[in-house]
Amino acid sequence: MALAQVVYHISRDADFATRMRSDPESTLAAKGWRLTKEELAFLMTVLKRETFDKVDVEHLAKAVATPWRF
Amino acid sequence: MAFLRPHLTGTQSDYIFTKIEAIWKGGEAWPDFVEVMRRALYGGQAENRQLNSRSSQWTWLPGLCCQAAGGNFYWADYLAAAWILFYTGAGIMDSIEDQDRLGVHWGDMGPGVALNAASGLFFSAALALECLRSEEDNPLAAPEVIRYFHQSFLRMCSGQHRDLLRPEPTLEQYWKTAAAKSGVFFALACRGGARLATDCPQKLDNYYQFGEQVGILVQIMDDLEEVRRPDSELHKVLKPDIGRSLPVVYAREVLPEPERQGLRACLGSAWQDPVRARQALDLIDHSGAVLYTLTEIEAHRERALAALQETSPQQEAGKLLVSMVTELAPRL
Repeated sequence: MALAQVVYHISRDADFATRMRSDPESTLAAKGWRLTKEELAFLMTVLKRETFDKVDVEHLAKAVATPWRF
Repeated sequence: MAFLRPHLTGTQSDYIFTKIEAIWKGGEAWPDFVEVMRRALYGGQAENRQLNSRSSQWTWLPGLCCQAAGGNFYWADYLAAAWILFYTGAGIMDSIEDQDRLGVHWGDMGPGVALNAASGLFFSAALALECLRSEEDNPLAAPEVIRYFHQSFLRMCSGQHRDLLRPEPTLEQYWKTAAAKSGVFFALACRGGARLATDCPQKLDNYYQFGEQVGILVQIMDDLEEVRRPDSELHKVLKPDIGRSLPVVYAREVLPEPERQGLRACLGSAWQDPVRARQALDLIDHSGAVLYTLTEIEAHRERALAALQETSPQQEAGKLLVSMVTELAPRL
C-alpha cells in the first residue's frame, strides 16, 4: 500500500510535501518508494488542487457522502 | 438530480416497478406479504411506490449500458428488476447480519418478518429472470446473463463472508472486499445490461470495469456517510460501523502504534461520546485521510470514465452514464 504511506508522509512532513509538489519522481526515489505512473498522476492531480488541504474529513463527508440503498 | 433528462424522469423506473408488481401478482403472493415486500423495496415511499431520486437513477444502469452497447434501453427491464429485487433482499439480510436497526418502515415487525420478506424478494428476482429468459428480444443472451447474475451474487456473498469475519480489515482487505461486494454488484448491472446487446468480449470486459469502478465509488461515498456527524451539537457522535469505513481503515494502516491504539480507544466510545468522536476525527484528519480518500475517488472516477470511453458508447446513453459518475464523484 505504497500510496497510503506516501500520503501519510505528505501529511506529516512539510518538507517532503513541498518536494513532492515540485519534483515527485526524485522525491519518491530518494525515499526508495515507488508509485505506479497512474497512482502518481492521480495523487498529483489532487495535490495541485487548492481545496484539499482546507478540508477535514467531516467536511468532505458533508460535501460528497451518499448513503447507498435502493 | 441535475442529470435527469426529461425523457427519463421517473417513467423508466415506474415501468420497471410495474413489472415487479406484475410478477408479484402473477406469483400469487398474498396481498399482506406483497405489502411487506413493497415496503422493503420503496422504504418510506411505499405508499407512492417510488424510490427516492438518488436511488432511482441506479435502476437505469442495466438499460443505459444495454443502450450504450447498441441495444434497446427496455431490453434490460427484467434484468434491472431482478437486480433491484435481489439487492433489496440482500440489503435486509446485511442489516440483520450486522445487527443494524431495521428501517422505520418495518415498524415493530421484527427481524423474522424482514428475513421472510428478503426470501420473497429473492424468489421475486428469480421470477424476473425467468421473464428475461422468455423475452423475444434476447433469446441467446438471456441464459448467459442469468448464469452471470447468480455467479455475481455468489461472489458478493463470498465478500460479505470475509467482511463479517473482519471487524478491522487492512487496507488491502478493504479494497478486495469493496471490489467483491459493491464492485461486483454494479459490474453485474453494467456488463449484464451490455451483454443483452453485444457478445464482444472486449466491450463486455470494459463494461465490467466501468461497473466495478462505479461500485467502488459508491462504496467510498457510502463509507463517508459513516463519518458524517449530526448537525446537532448535543449529539455529535459517530456511527458504530465507522471502523470499516475507508478513512478509518486508512488511518489504522498508516498511523504509528501509539496513535493507532488511541484511535481504537476513541472509536470504542465515539458512538456515544461526542468528545471521543471529535478526538477520533482529529486523529483521522492528521493521518492524511482526506488526501488519500480524494486520491482514490479521483482514481476510481477516472478509471470508470476511461473504461466507458473504451466501449465507444452510443452517444445519448454514454452521456447519461458519464453524468451519473460525475454526479456521484464530483471533482472537488
